[in-house]
Amino acid sequence: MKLIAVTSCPVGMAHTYMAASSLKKTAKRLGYEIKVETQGALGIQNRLSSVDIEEADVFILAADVALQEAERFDQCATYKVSTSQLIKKCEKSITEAIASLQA
Amino acid sequence: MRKNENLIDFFGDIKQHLMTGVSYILPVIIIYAFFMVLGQIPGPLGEVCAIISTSAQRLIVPVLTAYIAFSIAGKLAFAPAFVVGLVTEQLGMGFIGGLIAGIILGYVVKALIVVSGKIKPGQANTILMSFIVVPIVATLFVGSLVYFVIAGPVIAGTDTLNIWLNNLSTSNAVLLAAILGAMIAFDMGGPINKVAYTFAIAASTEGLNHVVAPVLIAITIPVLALGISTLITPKKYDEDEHMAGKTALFMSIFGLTEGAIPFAVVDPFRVIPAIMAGSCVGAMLAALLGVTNTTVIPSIIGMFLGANNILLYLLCHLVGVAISVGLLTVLKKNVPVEE
Repeated sequence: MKLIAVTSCPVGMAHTYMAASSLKKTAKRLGYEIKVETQGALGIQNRLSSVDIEEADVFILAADVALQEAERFDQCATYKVSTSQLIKKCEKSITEAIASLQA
Repeated sequence: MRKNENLIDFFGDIKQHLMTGVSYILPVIIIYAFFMVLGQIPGPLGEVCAIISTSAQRLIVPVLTAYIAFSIAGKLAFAPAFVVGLVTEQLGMGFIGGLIAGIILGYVVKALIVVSGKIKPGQANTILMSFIVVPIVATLFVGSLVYFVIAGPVIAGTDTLNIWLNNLSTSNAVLLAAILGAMIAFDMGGPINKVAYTFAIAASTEGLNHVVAPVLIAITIPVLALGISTLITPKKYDEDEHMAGKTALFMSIFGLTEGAIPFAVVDPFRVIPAIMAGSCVGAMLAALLGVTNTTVIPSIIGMFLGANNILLYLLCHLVGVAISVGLLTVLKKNVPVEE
């Protein structure tokens, strides 16, 4: 199972990166591969390439503000969640994201 | 995946659109505030800084309008919204006017895109839309709507609100500060926090600096209190929380309330009331003492840039932090020692 995610919050200093690190930690613990792009105050970092997007099974979108370059993800099976939800209940969110794909 | 175009999908998450706007004006506001202070320097350098500051100030509302519309309808809505945002700025409609214009423009453009896509999809449509329909029709329509219909009531409304906020009795000011302060701490950088902070930004663009200061003070208190609490009562926090405490102290330099989240996740029913009480009291004290801030930057940075009385400003922080730390000390249990 390969996951991709984008995190983004209004100020782009805290929630964005906290949600990203929580995703990485939890995915690793659950044994999934994940790549997380952050759209914070410094712009797009750890950018998801077209190959990443192509290969991914699930796209977790945690954008509290408008996504930058959203057209990249038009074809993705998307699971939407807030950054604060990812910080608080990351495992639940990942499980739900995968379940929503199989449903 | 095709989305079905029902009404809920069409209007989507309006909060997200507003937050996008706020997220893009914050850097503009920071430029405005920094250069306003540097503009006090006598001589040519000061003059340059003053020009930069006023330019940034004039951009605040247009950028807000542009990015709200951008969030709603994408790239096509950006240019007309930027222009109409400048119109609202010139008409003196303030933050609220720019916000309303951005929302209307975003949905007008989105509607045009949906409708034209249904009538005649294809390349010709794309060209027609991006070169003629949206730039001319949307801009003219929303521009006139703003000028003839919205400007009057918005200016009257904001004037009334401004007069009320300018002449707040002390008890009302303290009450307002208490509510805003508690909102700031409640979800630590989340949506409720942002509502209070956005209110402060709006107040600041109207020069209501006595409404802004309590909010800014409330922002820094939670992280500072939790950071200090991990230092003076280390037994109440585990290994992870000690790390988080150091991060919190660092984040307090910039006034990022989010630094409190790791503590609240672990122990919400003790941590959240404790930090809410601190922020609330700190904000009330600021209102009571008449502390003001000309910037919208929290923490020690904002204090040096914009506080009218640094000692009182600091005092409000210290009292709030003391209350939060005190409550944390009383409420939190010691972490069981692991073998």
